[in-house]
Amino acid sequence: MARRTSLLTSVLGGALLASALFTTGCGGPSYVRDSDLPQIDEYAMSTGLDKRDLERLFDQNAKSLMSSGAMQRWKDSSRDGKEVTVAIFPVKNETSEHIDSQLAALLSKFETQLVNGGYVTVISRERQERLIEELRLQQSAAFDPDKAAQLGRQLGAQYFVTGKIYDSAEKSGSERRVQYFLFMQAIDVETGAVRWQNEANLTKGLVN
Amino acid sequence: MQMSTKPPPPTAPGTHRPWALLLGALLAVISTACGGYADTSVAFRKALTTGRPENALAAVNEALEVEKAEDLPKDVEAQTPLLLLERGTILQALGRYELSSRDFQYADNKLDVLDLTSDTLGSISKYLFSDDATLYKSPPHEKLLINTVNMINYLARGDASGAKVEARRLVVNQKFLRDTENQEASMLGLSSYLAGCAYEAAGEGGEAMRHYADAKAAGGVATLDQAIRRLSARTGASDSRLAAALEGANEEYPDARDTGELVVVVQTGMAPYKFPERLPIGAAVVAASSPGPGARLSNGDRRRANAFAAKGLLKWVNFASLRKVNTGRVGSEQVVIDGRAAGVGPALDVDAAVLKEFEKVKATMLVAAISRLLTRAVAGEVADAASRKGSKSGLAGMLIGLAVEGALTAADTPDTRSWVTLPGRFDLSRVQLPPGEHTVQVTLSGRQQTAQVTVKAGGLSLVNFSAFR
Repeated sequence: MARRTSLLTSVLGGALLASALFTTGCGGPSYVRDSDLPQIDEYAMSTGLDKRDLERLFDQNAKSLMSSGAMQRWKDSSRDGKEVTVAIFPVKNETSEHIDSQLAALLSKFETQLVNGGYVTVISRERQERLIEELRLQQSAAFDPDKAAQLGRQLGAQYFVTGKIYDSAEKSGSERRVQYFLFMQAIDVETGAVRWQNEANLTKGLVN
Repeated sequence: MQMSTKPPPPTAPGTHRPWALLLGALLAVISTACGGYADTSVAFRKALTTGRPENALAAVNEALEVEKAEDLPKDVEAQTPLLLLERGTILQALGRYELSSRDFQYADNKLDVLDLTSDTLGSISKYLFSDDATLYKSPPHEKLLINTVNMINYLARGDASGAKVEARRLVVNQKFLRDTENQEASMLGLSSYLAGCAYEAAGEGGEAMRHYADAKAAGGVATLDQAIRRLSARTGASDSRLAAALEGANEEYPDARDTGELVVVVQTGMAPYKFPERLPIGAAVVAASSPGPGARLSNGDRRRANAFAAKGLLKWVNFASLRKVNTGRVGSEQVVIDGRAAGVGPALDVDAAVLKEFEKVKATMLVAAISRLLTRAVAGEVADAASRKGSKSGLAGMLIGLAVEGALTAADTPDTRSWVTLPGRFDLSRVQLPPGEHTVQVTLSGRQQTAQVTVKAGGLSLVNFSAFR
């Protein structure tokens, strides 16, 4: 009887061992917030843009804009009581990643920076929705100075801030790499002259 | 009469343990092994071939362990990327383009990860245990078609920007395939054609023309020649590879600037799918030894297989064969735009692409299947001999040997994974239309589908029709 029990135990033990080997993970995922798991913002989960990437791209561009001659002129105008009006147009996505919502978040950060800076009047992006949707559907217009200037005039803006993001994406047998290049510009609606421009870049990858 | 109550012969502690552990392990393997992807996909395949796409959607959701199409699975299991490709295809057929895009993107990213993941354990298992144990690495035509069908999703929604993202992903995949496979594997005329449509819809004629030239180099598709001539007449775009094809385009289409383009995509039938089959050992050895693409059986393995077969120990191998889906519709597509018949022609024969890919890997799969068969036979013999020695019982030894071999046989799942809801073929129709609303009617096997579409001057609109049978 004891031997039979021993045999049974061994069979069951073997079954459990093999089940453990052939079953993929028993514990399910659970939802967390950044205060519970601070490192959740640290690691990359895709080759798209995440919070850290957006902050990096924003910081590089915001620093450049705030120290630019264009901003100095806007500040001077503001002190003279002639605050300029700025519209923010979509960033044209020329990458191999679906990052439109992340680019919209980046523009919202720009909008916030400009509004809180207090030197310019920023046209609410909600009011621009119809025009922005038109731009989205006719992407080529986003960077067409003639059409953009026309849209800027319709909105009563003297300047518009916009941009374009490109990538150089490659995939090999061992990795996928996406190098992003974001160009931001401030353009004079009347003349079409570029008053500020900056390039920020970063690289994301999937490596073994 | 007195009963003799002889105690059993003393057995050293743990004598049974190794074999018992092995038996237990094998029982568990049998219990955890499944019938493979052919079993998983049977419910939604059947639903689609009987004209019930909503039921097929429910079946895929069940396989993904989610309640509705809006949900993504919590866990990424081995079959998740494939199941998302299936769901994306069904959602596209139902006109739910946004959700379809999301599924294709999710699957595309997951398959990217699998492409870059080394699979040593799977590669070993393929020759020892089961063909289904490897990570799923999609064949070239599937890789290219993910971005291709997703371009259809974006263009059907009028989102040229999203379609361009997919066109760029296609180019990345084409380069990857050129580097890892060959030039031929990296080119699909339909894929480059739709990439051209994406750029044309975005008003970027030059880039569109470059993709159309790629489509031409890949063998072309129906309506391509008209597309490039009208694009040239409208935008002045050209490509050195298309110089001859563009001659006289301006004179032929003087009104190109005032009109728009309408592209009609017709997807019909279902691509062939793999199903598990038992092949007689003799036929399998001959097939795996004959000249052709892929791995060949070594002389040593051939001798061993023949020797085991002669002893009657081996009779058949577990293998995946290809089965064509009988949809009963061939060449019955008709496209009518605003009441006038429009030409429709072939863009991609997916059936043929799947068959070609299968022929390429068939011998390698057979060699792996025979290797597993030999492993099982050897394991059975070793188990038999060892247990005879340990238990001194010929019957027990034979039973354990058979159990080991039987368990390994039951766990041997042929690799039947593939994107089974892909259409059997794509056809295209394309017309030049004045700006405004237009009505498109497509008749597929006697069933009529209608769509309203808006065409803008200088723009490109796309409408998709899918019928799985």
